Amino acid sequence: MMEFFAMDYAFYVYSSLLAFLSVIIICTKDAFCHLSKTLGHIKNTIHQMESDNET
Amino acid sequence: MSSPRYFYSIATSLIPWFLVSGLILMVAGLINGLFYAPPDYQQGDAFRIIYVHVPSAYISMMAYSLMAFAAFVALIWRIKIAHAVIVGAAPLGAWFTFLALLTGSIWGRPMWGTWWEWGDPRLTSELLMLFLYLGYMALRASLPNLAQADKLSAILILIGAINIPIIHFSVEWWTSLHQGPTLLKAGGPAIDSLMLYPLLAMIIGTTLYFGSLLLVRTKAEVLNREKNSRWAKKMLLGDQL
Repeated sequence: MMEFFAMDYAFYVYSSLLAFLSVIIICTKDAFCHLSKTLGHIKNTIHQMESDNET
Repeated sequence: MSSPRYFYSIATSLIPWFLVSGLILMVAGLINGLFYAPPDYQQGDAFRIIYVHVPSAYISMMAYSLMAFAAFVALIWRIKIAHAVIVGAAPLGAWFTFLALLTGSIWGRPMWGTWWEWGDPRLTSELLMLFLYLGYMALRASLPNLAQADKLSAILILIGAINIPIIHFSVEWWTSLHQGPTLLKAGGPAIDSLMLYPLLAMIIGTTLYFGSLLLVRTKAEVLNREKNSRWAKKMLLGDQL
């Protein structure tokens, strides 16, 4: 097994890894937040329409 | 599957399976690729960047191909889900294209001695694809009418699909700094199995991960389009309806 920082070009390899992990985290957070926001927005709209109908 | 209600229910059950199996494969591929695969005889340890660069580049092209297929289906058969799939895939495809360009640039610096080369056909055609993704999202955002946005953006996606074979074959058609195909070449992959298996794990894992997030984003888009339908209201409000 290779030592963590012993490899050649460690800066380039770990910069790429960091970029990959960052995009994975951003995409995951963004997708689930987007779904959650959409659900919340539609629920609010439906509730608003119902209360408008009642009045 | 073309029924929004059926799609929503199938997607909800598939998402955790795709996400967990994708993440497990990615972790296994990264650990094996970074620490256990032997160094390349020419590139040394710098070759390990392929474990993040190749899956990113693959997803960037696969996502666009999927969008082009969905655009074709949406325009010909007018299937509503297809437009939602395009909307869901675009931001993911853009992120992975950006990642492919970034990791390719990081790889290019020690191997080619430059971060970027404008005359290289693979690099510039991949950059063009990033602009196509961004252009698609900008076009959609600029059109308030949903039907018009769906139609025009689908046409843009189909026109841009010509770039996919150009990206793939650019290293064969023209002189390029970028190396030729390693996996998809006649006579089988030109890579040792100790390097190949972690790469395959990364490609499959990233594809499953992409699939899970595509389903999450498409679910949101389907719900947004179907918010006035009875099934969506019933599903969202449950017993209150």
